[in-house]
Amino acid sequence: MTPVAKSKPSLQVVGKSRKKVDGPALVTGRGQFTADLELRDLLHAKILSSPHAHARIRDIDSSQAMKLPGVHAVLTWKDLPRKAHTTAGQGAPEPSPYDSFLLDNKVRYVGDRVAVVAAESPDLALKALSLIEVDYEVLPPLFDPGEAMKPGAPVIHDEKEAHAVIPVPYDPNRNLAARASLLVGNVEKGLREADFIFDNIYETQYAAHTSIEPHVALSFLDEHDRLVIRTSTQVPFHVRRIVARILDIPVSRVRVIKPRIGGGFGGKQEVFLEGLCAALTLKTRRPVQIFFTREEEFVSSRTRHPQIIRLRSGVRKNGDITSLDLRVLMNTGAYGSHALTVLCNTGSKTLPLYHCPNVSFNGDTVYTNLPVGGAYRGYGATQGYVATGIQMDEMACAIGMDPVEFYRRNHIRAGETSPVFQALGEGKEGVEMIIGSCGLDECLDRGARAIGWKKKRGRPGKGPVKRGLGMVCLMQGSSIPEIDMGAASIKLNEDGSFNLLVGATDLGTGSDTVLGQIAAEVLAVPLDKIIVYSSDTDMTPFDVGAYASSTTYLSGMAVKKAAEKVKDQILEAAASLLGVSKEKLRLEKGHAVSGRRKASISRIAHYTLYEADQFQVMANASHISHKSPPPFSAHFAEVLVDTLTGKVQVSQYIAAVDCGTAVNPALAEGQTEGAVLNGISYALTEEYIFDSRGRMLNPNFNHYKIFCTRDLPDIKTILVPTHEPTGPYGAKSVSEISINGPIPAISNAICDAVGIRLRRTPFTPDRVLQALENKAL
Amino acid sequence: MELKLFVNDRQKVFTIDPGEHLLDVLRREGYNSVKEGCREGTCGACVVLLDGRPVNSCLVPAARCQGRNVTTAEGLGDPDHLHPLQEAFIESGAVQCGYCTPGMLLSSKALLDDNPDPTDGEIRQALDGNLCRCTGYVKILEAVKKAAEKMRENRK
Amino acid sequence: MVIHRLSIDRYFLPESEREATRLLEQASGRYFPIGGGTGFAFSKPKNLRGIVDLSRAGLDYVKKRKNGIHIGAATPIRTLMDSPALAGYCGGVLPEAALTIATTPLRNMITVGGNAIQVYYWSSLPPLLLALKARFVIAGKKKRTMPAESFYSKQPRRHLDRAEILREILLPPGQKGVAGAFLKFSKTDTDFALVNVAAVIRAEGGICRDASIVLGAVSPLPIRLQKAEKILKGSSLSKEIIEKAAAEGIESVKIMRDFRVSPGYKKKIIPTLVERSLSLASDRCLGDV
Repeated sequence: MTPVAKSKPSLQVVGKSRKKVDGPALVTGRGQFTADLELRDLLHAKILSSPHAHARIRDIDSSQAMKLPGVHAVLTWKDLPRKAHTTAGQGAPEPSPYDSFLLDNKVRYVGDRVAVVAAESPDLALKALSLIEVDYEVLPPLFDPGEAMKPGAPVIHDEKEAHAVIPVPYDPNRNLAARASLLVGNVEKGLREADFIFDNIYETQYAAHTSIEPHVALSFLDEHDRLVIRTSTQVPFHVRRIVARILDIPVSRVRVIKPRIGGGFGGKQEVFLEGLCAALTLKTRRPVQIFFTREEEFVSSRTRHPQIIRLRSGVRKNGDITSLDLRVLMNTGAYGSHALTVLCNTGSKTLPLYHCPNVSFNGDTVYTNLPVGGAYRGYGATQGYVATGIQMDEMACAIGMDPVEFYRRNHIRAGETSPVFQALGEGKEGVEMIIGSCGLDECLDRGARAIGWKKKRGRPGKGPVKRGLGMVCLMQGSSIPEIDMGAASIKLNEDGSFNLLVGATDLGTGSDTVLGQIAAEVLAVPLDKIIVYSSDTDMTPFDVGAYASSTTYLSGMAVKKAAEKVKDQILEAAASLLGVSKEKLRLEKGHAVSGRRKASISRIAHYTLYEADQFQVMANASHISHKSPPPFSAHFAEVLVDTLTGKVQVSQYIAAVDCGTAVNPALAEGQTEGAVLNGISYALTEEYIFDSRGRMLNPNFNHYKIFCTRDLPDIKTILVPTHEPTGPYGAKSVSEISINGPIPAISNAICDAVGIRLRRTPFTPDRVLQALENKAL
Repeated sequence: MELKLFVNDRQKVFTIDPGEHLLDVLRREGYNSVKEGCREGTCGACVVLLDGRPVNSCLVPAARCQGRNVTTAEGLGDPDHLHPLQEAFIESGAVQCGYCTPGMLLSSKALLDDNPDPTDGEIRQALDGNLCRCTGYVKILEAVKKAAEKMRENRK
Repeated sequence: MVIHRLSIDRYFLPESEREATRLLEQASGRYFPIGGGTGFAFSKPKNLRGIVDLSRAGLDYVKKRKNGIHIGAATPIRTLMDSPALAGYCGGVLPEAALTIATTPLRNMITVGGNAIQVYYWSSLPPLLLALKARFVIAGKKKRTMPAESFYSKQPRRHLDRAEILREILLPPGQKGVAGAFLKFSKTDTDFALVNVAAVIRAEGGICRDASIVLGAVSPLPIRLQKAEKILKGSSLSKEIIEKAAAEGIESVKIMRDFRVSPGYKKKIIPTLVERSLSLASDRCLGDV
């Protein structure tokens, strides 16, 4: 078993909570977000959306709209190339089905796009939308995922072009968008060997990312007639490829730039605005901006895929888990974005956590005429842990074991592997992996102590408000092994500063800073010597983008490798300059040093640029990962349940997280706190309310509730350091894992408080009160 | 129509449409720190101070601001001369994507100008109209407390 | 509802109530008076050509007089939380209710008059003003004062003709032995109410002389629980009596549909919420001797 090593004591920059490199720009309001670029002749685009959940467009007449002064273009499905694609921002060939078109002659959910207008102001564009006449042939809608594959169900993707581009199950005639399965051992046998068997259904609901900055894209033709797209995206390189393909223009003619963006959380790992925006720019030859309204954010962007999960499991009196049988029905809404991969992650990021000889996973993703699922922090694991996290607690309680001890007994450890890793990948086969680092036991110790687990659990108190404690263990992943790639390039300037160019995408997560810290550490300089520039497809090397918790682990390794090459060049030049052999030189505090001989990096830079054997000290490196080392976490929640109203409040929440080395502890804590609070409101108050015709009734912050400062419970993060040998300076990921804890931890805490098991989210007061009444019956 | 007002203590004259909102006028005039997030007064990204009090500029009719004083984040401080709140936000790790940050800073400033030694509850209340999805607010509240302490020290 | 621009030609900032009403009179319905103007986020009047903004018309004040507390209609909600005249009034129920309204920046914009006259079913001030037996002063061609009971007998704006404005709300003078409580039940702190309860109790010598209990968010306009009031009147405000009033008092209340939760759920929790606010009001009241 790999011993848990703490970070090496000699680290100067990595492991420190350095201030964010873009901090001053953001606090003075000077940070340039997409809509902050002022362009002459900018046109504003608005999208006409469907009032019907399922309809064919028999005809569409935009002549009146075109006549409106100030309107420069109106596009419908007749005006655009019909190129089936997926909007999912994934590497090519994408594992999501090609079932979307820029504009189509069919609409598949209330909020689907019908036409787009570019005009001189947003108000004019809206006015023009109202003048477009559409003749719909309304079709029967499908809202219930349980009905989707039954014979006679409306076929949502009946177009001939819909297809999967990799060899995976895809059957749109039965509304099947994706299917995945794995089998290890014999689950029925495992159940027979158990002393206690459990068989439960769990349901998770739609959720919105609610980035405070909505989706926004801006496109224009530069002086060389190249299409420049500035967009609030997590995946600039995928944007370039996809837009070029669907508009039939060469990739070389497209440049994509990600400026500052106002949050993503997975919602911006998607390419659904840029194509339309670019099409309008090509048509009008003018800059065009599309800025989504908050309502469009809720309805017409992307969401978390709702799931219905059946989990059967068996446990022995001694605590051995004998069988885990996870079955998932996932609702992808009207289009299959991330339909296969979120499904797979539901099993691949949960099941390996537990020692169990018999494991089975079966999942189907189906289409419905409802808003579209996409990538959302946690990415299937969030839904999966609702099932396993609650059922683990149930199993522990059934055998009279403390859940903390139950996890200690059953969790995967460093040096171990799970057959699930190989069996369940993301569209192709998974990758076998031996766990290199696992601090879960320390997470359990410190988390339990911090919340007062032994003292407070099982003591609900008197009176109508009862207190309960619950916990859950989690794992996630770090990058998608063998599939995703990130690259970096570094060059040296004459004053000893460096330009670090990375494709990696900072959505506010601070990756520019973290990657800068890694480079600074290798090059033995302070962070402010690294000038970071990211996410520009012309200037920065390739990176798949910010998803799958890969930036620190994958892109960070590319940065480290590039920096090491640059360091080598510097030492080579220093050897020449100082007349010392390279082997005797090292970099320390901004200097190349050997005994008492030393030269500053700026001296060496000057030498290499102007003095002898001149060359540009510069290198680039790429990295693919060969494993996806999981961060681990133990979450503890304390809740107060008002048994007379059903209202649940979280009073305290502890997240103990092993992310390997935290390159920037403050940023790692920030990721944890943000993810936890998002998970808590997802557990308690967030939901999409639909009417009988599939229209969302609460597409605004007034009625879709996320927490404000007054709702914030006492959240504490405990970073538990381990050392992941394959990560830069021992780092793993941290950005997704903690969103998966709150639902199971809170459900388990509610059970501790009032003895009911809630398995359908969100736990709103009316649902909780109903469950209490049902129990009393 | 003509709108004469003070923005960050500077006299300004803008030409506006009578039906416009302050958010759009400010952004058109270059105050890009004022952000659009919902246009319904529910997210707080557009918060500015009107005569020292936080308001949702997306709902404030621009014409109402005749002769009044508007403060935006641009008026708080420059990168070489940061306001203690701006410094504290950076030091505490309270800035992630930064989109809610201008509004948060202004709501915090209004609080501290009125109440230099606020309790935790008072800070939470002052920021209750500024939504953030990135940080979970934890470090934002820490930053405000830290800034309050710094500002009290500076006064001594 | 997203607003871009209001399609109006004129924006007025009258400096007196007379000027305001004169403008409205001249405009024959094409102009609309606003306090904070935040209501446009929910709906816009048709044929709107101009706005008469009351923020500078001298209607932003809180004055304590012998005949009661006068609150100007254009007073922002925030002032209800700051004003010394209101801090101790009736057990502090006004700042308590003010904190349940929206958020800090919105409380700087929403006015007392606006919140009182444009009744959304979740609004906080209407049930409280009804429970406090406030009076509403209307200015225009004929200045008049309406008691809350009449004011809230229909959507209050329908009492006014298009050239009239609400100018002031008059609260009865504070009295010893009179205290109230306001309780909002919602999913999050700044959420719209699922249920509002406003309770004002007058007690003398440990006996309840009068009670005003009003429910909000269960019907389009606030409703008084007269049955519960009767049970409390003349009682010792014991725990048992309060429970009885809360349980029996809502028996005949018809609860409107709310797309967020079922009427059945509201019916289940209302007795608890009424009991909690009555206990609070009664404690404040009996403690105030």
